[in-house]
Amino acid sequence: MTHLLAMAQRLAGALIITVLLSPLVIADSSVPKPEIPKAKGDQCVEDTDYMRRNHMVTILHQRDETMRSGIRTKKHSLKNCINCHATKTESGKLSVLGDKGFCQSCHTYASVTVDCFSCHSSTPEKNADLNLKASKNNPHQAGLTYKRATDLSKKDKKALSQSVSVTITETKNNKAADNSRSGQ
Amino acid sequence: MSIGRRDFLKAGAIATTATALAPGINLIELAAARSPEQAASAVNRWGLLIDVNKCAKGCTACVDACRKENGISDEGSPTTDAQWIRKVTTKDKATGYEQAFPVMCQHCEHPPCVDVCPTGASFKRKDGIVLVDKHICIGCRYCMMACPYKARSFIHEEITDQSHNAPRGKGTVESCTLCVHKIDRGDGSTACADACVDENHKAIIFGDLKDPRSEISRQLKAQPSSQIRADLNLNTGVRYRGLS
Repeated sequence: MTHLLAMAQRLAGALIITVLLSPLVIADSSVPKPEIPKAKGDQCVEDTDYMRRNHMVTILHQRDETMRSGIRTKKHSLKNCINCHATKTESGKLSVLGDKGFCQSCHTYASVTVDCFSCHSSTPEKNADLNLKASKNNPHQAGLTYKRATDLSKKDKKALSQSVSVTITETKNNKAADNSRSGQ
Repeated sequence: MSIGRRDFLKAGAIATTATALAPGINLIELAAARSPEQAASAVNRWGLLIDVNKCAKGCTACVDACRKENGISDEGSPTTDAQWIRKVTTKDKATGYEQAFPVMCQHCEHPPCVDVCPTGASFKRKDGIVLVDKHICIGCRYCMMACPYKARSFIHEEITDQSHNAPRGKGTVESCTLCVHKIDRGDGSTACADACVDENHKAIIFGDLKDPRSEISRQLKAQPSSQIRADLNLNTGVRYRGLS
């Protein structure tokens, strides 16, 4: 019982101190709020409010999916974040780091270390297309349909036959390869 | 360019295969078999076949290509710098016969590195690729001691300018990923195998060991091959031909 009483007293003490000091804390909030740079895309993959609170959970989930199962959907991937949110730093390099960088500016304000970039690149990919439109060559893009060989256009067929003949020319030059095949 | 009779027939055979393997199935669709939201599965087991006799002495094209693809840099400490793939030279002491060939993570079916990992960072993906989850690797290096192939490296220094393909950082262990980013993208090859083809040596074949129609499976079926330290019964995904 005395133990509980002592705890209650301590709690009350802490409360009083907090109440007394709170105007001081508010008055002393001299840390400027970070200016969050605008992203390249029109719309984030989730609502801004959701992302502010939960981006770490979203990235963590995607991390395990990608690492363990090879699921590489773009929507919640770190690469996709960086491709869209990287801005020019003072050195002229595109990055999410730097004093005014998208990730670092806010993390510095919140006093939370960003661990991602001790391993991951903080710069956007060279040919990043931000997932805004379907690219012809990237099978990971939504909206891309694969043609059956029977549906190939004349041009595609020509390209296919050319790639085949290139392979054969190389085989021809390599006698060792030719011998090993004739042994089958 | 003149095409001989033999090559003409081959071209015909390949073109026929491309247009119709069977009704409804064809090569173009097979190449893009897995979509990005689909997990890697045990339907595939990726591996390499290395023909030691085709591997040119002094050539380091595969090593260089690996370093470029995965952004591996020298940190000025040759004894501890990371190497995912290295050329090993062996010599028969009795005859003096030398062989040089690349050695990398052998992507074992029963990987000792996974057995000893205290955190579960070292793991085997369902399609047979052995990886390190650096997010949970504590850098204890047990796996390095357990690996019979000396395939793993520990990162001692801070790393900057990493490749987008391969995140790497201080305090973790790493090794050949079998270019997992390329496999997931559906490239159907590794950087080392590509480089070897570019050099016209074609000593490295990448493919699916579980697909009997794949080049690697056909080659393995046609001629004898071996595993390094087959006595350990690890059933490696990397096989060698002509190794004595």
